[in-house]
Amino acid sequence: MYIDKIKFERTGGFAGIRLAAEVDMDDIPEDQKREIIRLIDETDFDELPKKLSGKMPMPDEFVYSITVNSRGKEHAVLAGESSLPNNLQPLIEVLERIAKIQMRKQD
Amino acid sequence: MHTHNHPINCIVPPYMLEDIATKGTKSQRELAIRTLKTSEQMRGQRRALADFSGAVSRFAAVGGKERIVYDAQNGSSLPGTPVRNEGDGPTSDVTVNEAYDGSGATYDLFNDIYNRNSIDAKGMRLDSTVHYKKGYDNAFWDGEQMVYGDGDENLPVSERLFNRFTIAIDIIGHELTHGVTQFEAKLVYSQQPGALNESMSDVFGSLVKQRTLNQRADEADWIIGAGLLTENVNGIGIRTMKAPGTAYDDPVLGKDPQPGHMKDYVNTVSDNGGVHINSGIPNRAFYVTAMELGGYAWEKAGQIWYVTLRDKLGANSKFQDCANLTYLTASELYGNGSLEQKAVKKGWAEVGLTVDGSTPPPTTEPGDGCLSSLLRLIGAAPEK
Ligand SMILES: [Zn+2]
Repeated sequence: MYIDKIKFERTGGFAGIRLAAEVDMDDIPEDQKREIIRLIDETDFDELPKKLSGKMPMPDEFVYSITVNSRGKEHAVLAGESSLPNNLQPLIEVLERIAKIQMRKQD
Repeated sequence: MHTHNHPINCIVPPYMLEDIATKGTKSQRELAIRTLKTSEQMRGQRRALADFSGAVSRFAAVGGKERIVYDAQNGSSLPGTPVRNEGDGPTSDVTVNEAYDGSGATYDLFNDIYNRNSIDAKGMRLDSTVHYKKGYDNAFWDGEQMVYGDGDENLPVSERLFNRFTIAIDIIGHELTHGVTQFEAKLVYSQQPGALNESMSDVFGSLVKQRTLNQRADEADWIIGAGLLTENVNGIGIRTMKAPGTAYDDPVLGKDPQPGHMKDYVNTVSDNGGVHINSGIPNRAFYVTAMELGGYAWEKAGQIWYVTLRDKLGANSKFQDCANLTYLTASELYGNGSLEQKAVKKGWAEVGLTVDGSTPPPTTEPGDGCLSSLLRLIGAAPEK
């Protein structure tokens, strides 16, 4: 799948501290770009519902929001930690890592 | 069969039955069961009676405080390997010991002060898992147990923002209180009911800390998660009940987003509708109430909040409901027009909520009279 941009947000958690990143696919290293595209393709991201909520949210779990922008079309998925499908986990990990690096660069 | 002639013309709520089952002596419990069985009102209440008998046997089977700490060894499967059982001495792992001691102190607050035997009021074992995942900067209650991450332990020291999540005892009390709420008010984890759920966890988490340190309300720091942020962060903790919005202000983490007044209420879809943000409002109402009353906050203010959580709040209660119901509880516990009731009113007024004491009490307890008579019958009537 072709991707222009990914917006990632992690909220909630005991601390309630927001972690967020905007990933422009043209601005990241080629191997990371390939990895992200592969991880998104594996999840059939386009087919995922807007809100993944299998169960009641667990108190203090993280809440994730991933928005993929592809040729002007946006698809956003919101999921609590306990309702994350297994195959979305590796993508979350990559995006969390990028967000933590971006956060530290802001200052 | 001898029929006892104390007709109990009411349906005793299950939690009351459980209270009696845990408080009464063996003969008192038997008398209570016999009385209930012969009561007209109990016909058709077989389920409640079954619950009662169950409560008695479960209680008999459980001694009281029982803890297990597990080690996830940086993996994600729960609960992990047991590393410290109830009664075991300290291990060489500080995180394990903090989880053990913190859950013990939380058990003690609820048991010694509020007469509650563990999370479910039936002696449920307290399970904690430490070292959950790698670089996991969070702690949570999964519906059955506490789970703690180690913070940013996988980053170089100079880049770490979070320490281990067992470092602050109020975090442990916070997580366990989510369990209590789950068994009592069952506050929905979204929007205002969710923020009340969060606030209850901060309130009793802070009270666990204050009681452990033997601090009066004016001696306590009222900080949630003191010590959790590393030296690389400009902040004193995660939240402050005293001055919401001032816990941290940092170039990397941003600024504490908590409001301390209704006029600053944050409408958002993030964080399940801002449950960790707007909890600042009821947190501050509790702080002001406790400061008004002085002394140990767990005694009067804590008692009012606990009884409200246990008996009054429902799944969809909002801040205004909590204000009205804590006010009602204060009048039931300490009298109408009491100093305690006035303190509650002031607490909520400070955050922009006017208590409405005009509405008649909700009929969660059908007639206090029958409850007292039952308690008198088994010799467990509370002192007035
Ligand atoms: Zn919480």
